Amino acid sequence: MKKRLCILLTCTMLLFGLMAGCGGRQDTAASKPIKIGVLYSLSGVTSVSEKQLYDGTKLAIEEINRNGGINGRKIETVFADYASDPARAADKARKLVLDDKVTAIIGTCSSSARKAVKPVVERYRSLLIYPQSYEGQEQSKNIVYVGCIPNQQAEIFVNWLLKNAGKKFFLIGCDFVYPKVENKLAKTYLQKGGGSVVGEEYVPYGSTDFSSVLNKIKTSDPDLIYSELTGDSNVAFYKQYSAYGLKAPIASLTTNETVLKSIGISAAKNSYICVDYFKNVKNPVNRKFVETYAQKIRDGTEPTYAVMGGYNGALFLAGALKKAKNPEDTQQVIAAFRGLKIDSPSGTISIDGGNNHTNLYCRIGKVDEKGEINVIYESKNPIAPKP
Amino acid sequence: MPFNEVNSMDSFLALLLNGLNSSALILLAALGMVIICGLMNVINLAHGELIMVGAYTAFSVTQVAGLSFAVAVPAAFVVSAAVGAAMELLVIRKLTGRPAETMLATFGISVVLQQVTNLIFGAQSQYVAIPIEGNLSAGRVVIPYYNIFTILFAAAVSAGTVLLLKKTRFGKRVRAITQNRTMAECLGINSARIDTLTFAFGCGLAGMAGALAAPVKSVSPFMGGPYLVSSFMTSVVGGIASFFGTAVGSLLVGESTALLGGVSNDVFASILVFLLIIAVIRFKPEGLFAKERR
Repeated sequence: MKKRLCILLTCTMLLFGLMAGCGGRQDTAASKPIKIGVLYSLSGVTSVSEKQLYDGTKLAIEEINRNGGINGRKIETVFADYASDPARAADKARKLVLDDKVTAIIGTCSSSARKAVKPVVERYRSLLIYPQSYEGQEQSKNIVYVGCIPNQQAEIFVNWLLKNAGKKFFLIGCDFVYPKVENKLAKTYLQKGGGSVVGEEYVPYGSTDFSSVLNKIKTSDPDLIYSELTGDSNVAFYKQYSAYGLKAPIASLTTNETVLKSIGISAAKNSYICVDYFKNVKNPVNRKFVETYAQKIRDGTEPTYAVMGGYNGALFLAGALKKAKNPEDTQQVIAAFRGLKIDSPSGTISIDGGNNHTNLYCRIGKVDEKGEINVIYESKNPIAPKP
Repeated sequence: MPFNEVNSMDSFLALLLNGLNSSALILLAALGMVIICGLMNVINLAHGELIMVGAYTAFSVTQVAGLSFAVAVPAAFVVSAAVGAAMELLVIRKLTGRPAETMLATFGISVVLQQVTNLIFGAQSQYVAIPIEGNLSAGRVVIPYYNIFTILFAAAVSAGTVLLLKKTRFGKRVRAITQNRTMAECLGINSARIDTLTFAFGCGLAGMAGALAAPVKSVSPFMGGPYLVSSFMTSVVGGIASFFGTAVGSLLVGESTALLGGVSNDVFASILVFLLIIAVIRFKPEGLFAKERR
């Protein structure tokens, strides 16, 4: 029995070998896997976000390889963990490009990590696919940006809130670059849209004591809270806000399905979130994706917009590798990104021809009594990025 | 300048009460650190992680096992105390009299605890339901019932700790060793055993602080850092080994953060509080209420 199986296997392998030999002129190159770098932190302070990006990327690459890879060639990933340290991200990126000779890198999460890797990929004319939403105001021909930027998220959100939730905004965020830029933009959108800012507060990164902020919110009596708090601060804020009996809804650019679970239904209900993807987006591609996620990632987390960023990034990269004549020539791969379109769980989305950012849908969700996010607004078409 | 005025007595009172709540949590967190430091001269850099262990115990007891929060608090004490006892027996004991190495070792343990928690529970933060909902409001002043509970609980635990140290045989021995270790040993006190017990007790207190913080803060593998900083600030200001000092120190840190945060903003407040503390240790290096030590 075993012998027969062996013979069968050998025959199959021979057959495949023969086919590969017929297909390409250089049979070794045609069957060799294509190497890409995966650069995320699974340790350190940003690991909560980056684990999601990592899971998304991992799921996408498994799927691509299961479905025949890049024109018959598998994708081989070289993983590097930079432990939430931007300087180390730059080192690891250099190593991936020079020593491991990867065609492209997918990774980094915070803007500071991306900004540290940017000169590396520019200098060695390599390619970084950046999967996270960020504050915009950057372009590089060696970086493809897959997450949403303010004109695809905040601008629409602020105007929608003005129409549907109230005029008086209280802005809050952790004290670093992203929230400050987002709040500055929010203020200009509010000015145009006829809203007002009744308070603006920042807390030290990671701070979980909101007593004085809550007092100020109470005094200034806003219609809603506009938040870019992240990580532990974000969770603690929702909980304490509700414990103090404050009622104005919280509108967030950073909360997601997994964070909602740790906030709890009673503190999270009636709040708004605006991102490009929710688990509850209704289309067949997403239904299948949510199933796969539940099977493969068994750690109590949910698919989030960050998971989707990591996933979309890898799908786009696979698309570009397929389109490029020589998928090991990074310059050809970069060129192949222009106008590239994929069918993603977040809809049919594409890379913008000029600025290397992505045409993405904008969605607004409201948390219901069961703690689920109801998608109450969805842009008709993908929105063009204006970084 | 980033200042705005506090516009009424009401909101000043609200700030004061909020500060009291922060102080209570800081006091609980710092108490354990002060006891350990006073007795053994060990700066435990894994203190924040023992708070984290307590918070995860509260999560496991209430959300996974489905038991009440009233079980979670003592459970957090027991689990953190057990981790503390293991730390003392396996590592700290071997490093007696080498403060730098001990600090490094406890830092190493803190990283190990973070990553082990990360491996078991994942990096995402966990949900612990608030056991007492609702709030007391009078005019503009709102205090959640849970805050009142926290304040009373912290006061009770501090009183209990003081009683334990002043009125029991165990406490007497602890104080004897704190005052003069060699002499106490000469008089037949088993200082090694007392060390283990005290270390475990201090860690248990940290665990309770974690359980108490869990419903209103975030429960995640990396939550310990800020607690370590505020405990450390408190013990430095109050004077290591002085309980009265710890109480005053936690009030000072909690209230000044809340009040300064109220009149300016939280980022600015944290800078001012640090400056204040630097000023205190510049002029009173032993802390405000240091005990004379021989």
